[in-house]
Parts: sequence; structure tokens; C-alpha cells
Amino acid sequence: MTPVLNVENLYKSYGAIPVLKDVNLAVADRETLAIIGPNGAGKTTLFRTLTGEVLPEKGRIEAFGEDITRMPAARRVARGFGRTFQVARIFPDTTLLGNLVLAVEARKRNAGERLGGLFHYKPSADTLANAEQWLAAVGLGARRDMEARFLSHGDKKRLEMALALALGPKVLMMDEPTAGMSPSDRVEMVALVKQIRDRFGVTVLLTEHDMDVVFGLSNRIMVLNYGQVIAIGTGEEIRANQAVRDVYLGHEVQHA
Amino acid sequence: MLDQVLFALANGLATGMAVFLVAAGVTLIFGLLRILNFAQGSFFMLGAYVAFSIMGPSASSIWVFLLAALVSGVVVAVLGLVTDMVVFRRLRNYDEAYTLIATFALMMLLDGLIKLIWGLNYHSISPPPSLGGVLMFGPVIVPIFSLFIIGLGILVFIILEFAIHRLWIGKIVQALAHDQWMSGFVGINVPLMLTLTVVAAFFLAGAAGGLLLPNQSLSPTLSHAFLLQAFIAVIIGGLGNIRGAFMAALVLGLVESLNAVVLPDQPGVAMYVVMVAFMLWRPAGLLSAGTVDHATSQHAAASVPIDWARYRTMLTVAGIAGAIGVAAMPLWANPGTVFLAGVALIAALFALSWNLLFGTTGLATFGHAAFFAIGCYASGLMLKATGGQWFLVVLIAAALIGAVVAAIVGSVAIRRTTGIALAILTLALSEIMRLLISSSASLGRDDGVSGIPRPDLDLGFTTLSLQSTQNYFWFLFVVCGAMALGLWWLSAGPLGRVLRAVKQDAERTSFLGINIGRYRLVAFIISGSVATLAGALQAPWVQIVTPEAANYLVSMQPMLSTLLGGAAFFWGPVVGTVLFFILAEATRALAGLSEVVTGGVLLLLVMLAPDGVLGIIGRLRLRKRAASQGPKLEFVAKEARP
Ligand SMILES: Nc1ncnc2c1ncn2[C@@H]1O[C@H](COP(=O)(O)OP(=O)(O)O)[C@@H](O)[C@H]1O
Ligand SMILES: [Mg+2]
Repeated sequence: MTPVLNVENLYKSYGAIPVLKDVNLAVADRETLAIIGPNGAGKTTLFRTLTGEVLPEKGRIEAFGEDITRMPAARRVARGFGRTFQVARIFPDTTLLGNLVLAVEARKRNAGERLGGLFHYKPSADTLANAEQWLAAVGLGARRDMEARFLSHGDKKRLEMALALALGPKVLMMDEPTAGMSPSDRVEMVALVKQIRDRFGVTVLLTEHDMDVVFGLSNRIMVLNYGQVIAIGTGEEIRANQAVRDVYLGHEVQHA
Repeated sequence: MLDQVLFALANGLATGMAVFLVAAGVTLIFGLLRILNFAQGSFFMLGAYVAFSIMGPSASSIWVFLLAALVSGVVVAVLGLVTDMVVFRRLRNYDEAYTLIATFALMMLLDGLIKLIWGLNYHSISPPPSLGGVLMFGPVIVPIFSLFIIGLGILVFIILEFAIHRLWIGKIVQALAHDQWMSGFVGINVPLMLTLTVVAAFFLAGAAGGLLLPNQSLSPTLSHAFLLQAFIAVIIGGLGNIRGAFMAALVLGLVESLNAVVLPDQPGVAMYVVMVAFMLWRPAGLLSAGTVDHATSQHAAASVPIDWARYRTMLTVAGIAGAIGVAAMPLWANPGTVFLAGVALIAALFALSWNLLFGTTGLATFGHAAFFAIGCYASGLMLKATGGQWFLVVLIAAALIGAVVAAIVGSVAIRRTTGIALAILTLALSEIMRLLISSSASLGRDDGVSGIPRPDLDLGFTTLSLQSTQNYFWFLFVVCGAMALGLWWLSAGPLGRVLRAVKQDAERTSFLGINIGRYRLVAFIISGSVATLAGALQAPWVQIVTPEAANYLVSMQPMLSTLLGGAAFFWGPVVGTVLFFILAEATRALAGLSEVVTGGVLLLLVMLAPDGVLGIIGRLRLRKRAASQGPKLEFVAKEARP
């Protein structure tokens, strides 16, 4: 079976400084892969090359057997890539429902559907129903008419997740989904991701600093350091890996 | 030939230094405050007028001349101090589009004040006796005053370089420019240091005004001439970079004076071409050195959550009543007022077209007048050719021309730049167009095209004459109304939703699988096409077109109206246009007064109520509700306010 994502010898530098050095990675369907590593290791940059926000200098990215190395970000979305950001990106001056309407309409547009005729400038009933469904799925249904900028940090992340999910992604990439959250919000977020992953059968890639979240969610873990993959494997294997202990996890492993 | 080139060289150096003297202040203020100050040229001009008042048209000695410049510097520095405290401090966290507009308002205010105080006359001023003559280098004649300016420019450059790179003060200023918050922690009095440097920048502007006065013709247009050149130097040199501004000013001066030798029929064009080429070459490069972090700059237009739906019926009724009142104007108002109302209808449509880019898509262009002018000339020339026939075809053709131009310009400019770069790029492009028009014989040069006939409207089954003011006014009303409703429909529908999404968060939008570049381009094409149509409607109404239609003051008109009414509201530009015309009409009597009032009102609005008149109404309602509901909403209202 072809992997969902296949990355070969990916190389990216900013100026003279290499940020990703020959990264290789294969992601199987429906697995959850966590990418960990110290700050500045290149996790976000790896995400950005995968989603098409930046282009790598060398290497190759394949998704579902198709070469997407130079494909623009917006087109990768249509291929099934969804993304959340380290700092949630939402539409702040729009209501929560309005946020989701945008996503649902975008999905329909990507699928080639026409959005109403000359006199139907309002979102269709079907769009609205769909949008409400997604809001409910992340537990924000009750606040549909609130403008998004008034949400708490954690709720913005939920909304962002709904925005990404409403596009029907096959691969959901989450950059530090629990950064800056309270411990209780974290627990809720992990539960939500699990629930969504199992319900919609998406492949999940995430970067994360919190080891409880990492070990709680992922089937496999990849460790990046200075742009290099130093280990990849199951939680057990990573815990046992001496190189990882040396450069990164250190005492945290004993805690976890 | 050689002596010509040498003469052009000396001339170019002097021009370049003069530009640098203004550019230095602009770049200092940008480097420190991240504010691109449109008013710098006006402060410079103020300095020139103050010096003129002291020394008269010819200074009796070089000491009087220097003293006058010193006094100008001090006067402008004091005003600059006030400006910093009253205006700039409030602007520090604003979105850059709003700061640009605010300093533009300040420019209008100052220019207007200068007109009120000193009048509109031209004065020519000669250098003081000891700087008056010329020097002969073989066949080359160089005015001593040019040498004086070149020396002065180099001196100021060295002082600034020394102050910024060597002295203790310079180090602090640099630290401030990089991280104001952190320098606050290491125990430096941040506000004081900032204020001192800002005052120095203003002193420089004022003193330069006095020193550059001789050999200029002093009139209230002096500021514009210097401002654009200084801006170009600052931008090409890398915003906030003194050394870059110095080099760029020299290059510009040379380009400008070579332009006069090589292309005497197109004065001033080469400079803008250099600038546009540069901006397209390195759109990010010129902003790369420490610009505002977009994530932290807030949108000033924080619309207060207000349930407009509750007032929908009321507002619709008021809108319809207002529209009927306007439509009936030929029946109740005098012809002069009807004429103005027609101009206002066109201006409102023009403003709506601009706000489709700004308020809806989040792109601030500063050159929209170019489209308006294209429309004016296209319809004026075509109607003259047809003798007033084929009017519908003329209008459609004009709109198409506008769309094509927008598609071409947009596919380069919109795709490569946003923010300040886009603002300045569009400004330069429209200036190029104005200069080309005013130097084109077939377009009538500065006199433009006059005697444009009012057309007949051939609808196939019947022909309506639009010759009378009354009929043309009704035609304007119908067309502008229909276009406005069309724009409203677009902005309320799926397209508008996507455009608003692009404005709020371009990155998230592209992760909805939306090609944001394409949508921005579509908005630009629609907007350009409607703006061109507005121009095409105006030509037969006022029956004359001049290159002034492309003046950047015309580009500012829609910004003014939009901010006055409220950029976040679709009908904001219309409300603003109405208010603006009433304001302008009421203050028309005195040259300069209307600029003072409109500039002042705009400045106050941007600083105190960036969401416009409609926003104020919303906020007052909110406050009333908050008073009856306790403190929680009050907090929200404060939060929402920048
Ligand atoms: N746009 C950029 N320009 C220059 N350097 C960058 C840029 N983005 C990231 N970097 C550098 O690349 C390295 C990796 O950054 P990043 O991918 O954000 O790391 P992580 O997400 O693992 O913390 C860092 O050293 C960072 O400074
Ligand atoms: Mg990161």
C-alpha cells in the first residue's frame, strides 16, 4: 500500500543556515505521528515544506503516490491536507458560524460545486447545517453567533480545528496543538483529537512539546534535532533510544 | 555634450541633496516610530514659509539667511513636538494603512493652514549675496548655491551618520528601533529619547525648508514636489536607513537631471520608472530590514459587536427615503447644488470601488485616481469623437479598458506586494500616468480636454436626451445606484465572504484551498473597472478633463470618505461622501479652510474613531446598553477600541 506521505531527502536552508538536512519520512494511512525536538529544531519548517508554504531546495515530497514538491499550498488542500498553526489562525471579525460557512463553501468550491444562483447570495441551508455540525463536533455549537476574536485561546484552537476538518482532510497537520493551554484544556484537546481521528479516519501529524500529549496521542514519534532526524519509532523505542536521551529528552523521559 | 553632462551632474547632485534633506527626516521617523510620515513635506514647506517671512524675497546677508533657517527649524521642531505628543503616540500600534491615512490627513491640515496664512501666490526667492554667483570650471557653469546645497547635504549626512553610528545617543536610538520594550527594561528613558530624536527630525525638516528656499518658487505646492521624491528615496534606500536614503537620493537627483536632458518632453517620469522597477525587483527586500511585525500590529477597525439586523428595517427605510430625496433634487434644489450632488454621486461610487479593496479585501491602494482619470479621458475623447452618440457603448468600453488595465497592473503589483509597498507602488504608477498625460500633446497637456458634449442615450427602441442637467443627473442617479447595489450584492455573496476572509487572515484562507492571489486580483479588476466607469460618468457631467483627475489628492478622496463613514461598513463610503461634500461646501469660501477642516476631521476620526461615523453610532448604542447592563459589556467596548 502506498504511504499517505513519502518524504525523501528533504533539504531546506534559510540563507547559509540549513534548517532541514536530508529528512526522510514515510507516513502510513491513519497513523498519528508526533514530531518532537527542541525549539528551533525545524519542526515548523518541516510542516511548512509539507504544506507548501515554503519550497525545499532539494528533495521530494509525495502524497498518495503523487509528487507535490512544488505544488502551491492552496492546491495541496484540495489533495487532502489540512493544517492548524502554532498560534491559531481563524477569522477574528466573523462569527463562529461564519467561520465555518467559509470553510464549508470553500470545500464545495474546491469540489467544483456552484454556490447558489444570482439571487442566492446567502449561504445555502445545506451549507449552514453542515457548518453547525462542525461547530458542534468541536463543542462550540452554543456560541455560533459570537465573533471569533472573543474566544479564549483554547477555544480558538478548537475553532481552527473545525475549520481544518470541515475541508475533509485526509491528513491533518497540527503545529503544537496544546501550546499555551492550561493542563485541563490540554486533556480536553487530546480527547478531542482522538475522537475526531477515530470518527473521521484522518492521518494526523503533530508537533508538540508536552510529552503527555505526545505519548497519549501518537502511534509513532519522530525526533528532530538541528534539522536532522535522529530517531523514529514507537513510544517505547523512543524512550529506549540512547541518542534521543542524550540530545533531547534527558530527564523528561524519566518523568513520563 | 560633455559640458551638458557635467552641468546635469552638478545639477543632479544638488537636487539629490535637497531631496535627501527632506528624506532624512522621513527615514528617521520611520526608523524610530514605524510611521511613514506623509506630512513631512508640509513641515518642510512650513519651514520655508517661516524663513520667507523673516528674510523676505532676498536675504540681505548670509547671516540673516542662516538665522531665518535656524528659526524655521526651531518653529517646526516645536510643532513637531506637539505632533508627536498629540498624534504619533496614538498611532504607534495602529495598522499601517491607518497611520498612512492619518499622516496624510495631517498633511492636508498643514497645507491648508499654510494657504490660509500665506495665500496662494508664488514667490521667487534669490540666494543671499555671497551665495549668489556662479563658478566657471572651463566650459561648465555651476551656481555657487548648488555647491552650497551639495555641501550642506554632505554635512547633514555626516552628522546623522556620526550621531547614529558612533555616539552614545545613536546606540540608544538603534536599540530603541529594534526593541522598544527591551530598552525600557535596561533603564533608558524610552519616551524621552524617542521624543528628542523625533524633534531633531522635525528641526531638520524646518531648517531644510529655510535653507533650500532660494531658487525655488515658493507656493503651497512646494510640499508635494519634495514629498514624493523624498518618499521614493526613503523606500528605495530601505525604510529607516539613512545611508540608503542618501545614496538613493543622489541616484534620484541624477536620474531626474538626466531626464531633463534626455527626455525633456516627459519631465519627472524617469524617477518614478526607476522606483517602480525597483519595487518590482525587490518588493520584500526594501521592507526586509525590521518592518512592523504584522502579527502584532492590530487592525484599528475593530468593529464593535452590534446587532445591525435589529435596525435593518429602520435603516432601509432611512436609506430609501434619502435616495428618493436625492433623486428628486432637480425638483427642489438650485442648479448649483444639483451639479454638486451629481459630482457627489460619482464620488460615492468611486469611494465604494476603493473600499471593495480596502474595507473588504484589506488592500490599501494609493493610486486609484489613475483609473478615474482613464475613465474621464476615455469617455471624454470618445464622446467628442462621436459627437455625443453611442453613450452606452462608450461607458461599457471605458469599464472594459479599466478592467484590462487593472488586470495587467494587478497581475504584477497585487501578486507581488501588499501593505506599504503596494500603497507606494500604486501611488508611483498613478503619478507616472499623470505626468505622461500632462506631457502628451494629443491629450491636451495640462489643459486637458474641454468641450465634452453631454450625450444622448440610445436604447434601441427610444432615444433619451441627456443634454439637460436634470436628465443627466437622473441618469447618474440610476447608474451609480445600480452599480452600488451590484457591488453590495457582490460583497454580500460568496465572493465577498472570501474577500473578507482574505483580509482577516490570508494564510488561513489559503488553507481553505483558496488561491488568494487570484481573489485579490479579481477584487482589483472589479474595483478598477468600477472606478474607471465613475470617471467615464464624470467627463460629460463636468464637460472637461484635466490631468488633475490623476492627481494623488484624487486618490485620497475615497479614503477620506471611507474612513469618515466607516470602512467596515459597506455603505460607509457613501455616508462619508455625503458628509464630506457637505463639509467641503460649507467651508469653500476660503482657500485652505476646507483642507484644514477635512484634514482635521479625518485626523480626529482616524485617531479617535477609526471605525467611522457608523462605528461611532454603533458604539454609542453599545454604551447605552452597557450602562443598563452593568460593567461587563463596557469592558468589551474598551477592548475593541484600539
Ligand atoms: N523565515 C525564516 N527565516 C530565517 N530563519 C528561519 C525562518 N523560519 C525559521 N527559521 C529558523 O529555522 C530554524 C528552525 O525553526 P522552526 O522550524 O520554527 O523550529 P521549531 O518549530 O522546531 O521550533 C530556527 O533556527 C529558526 O530561527
Ligand atoms: Mg515551531
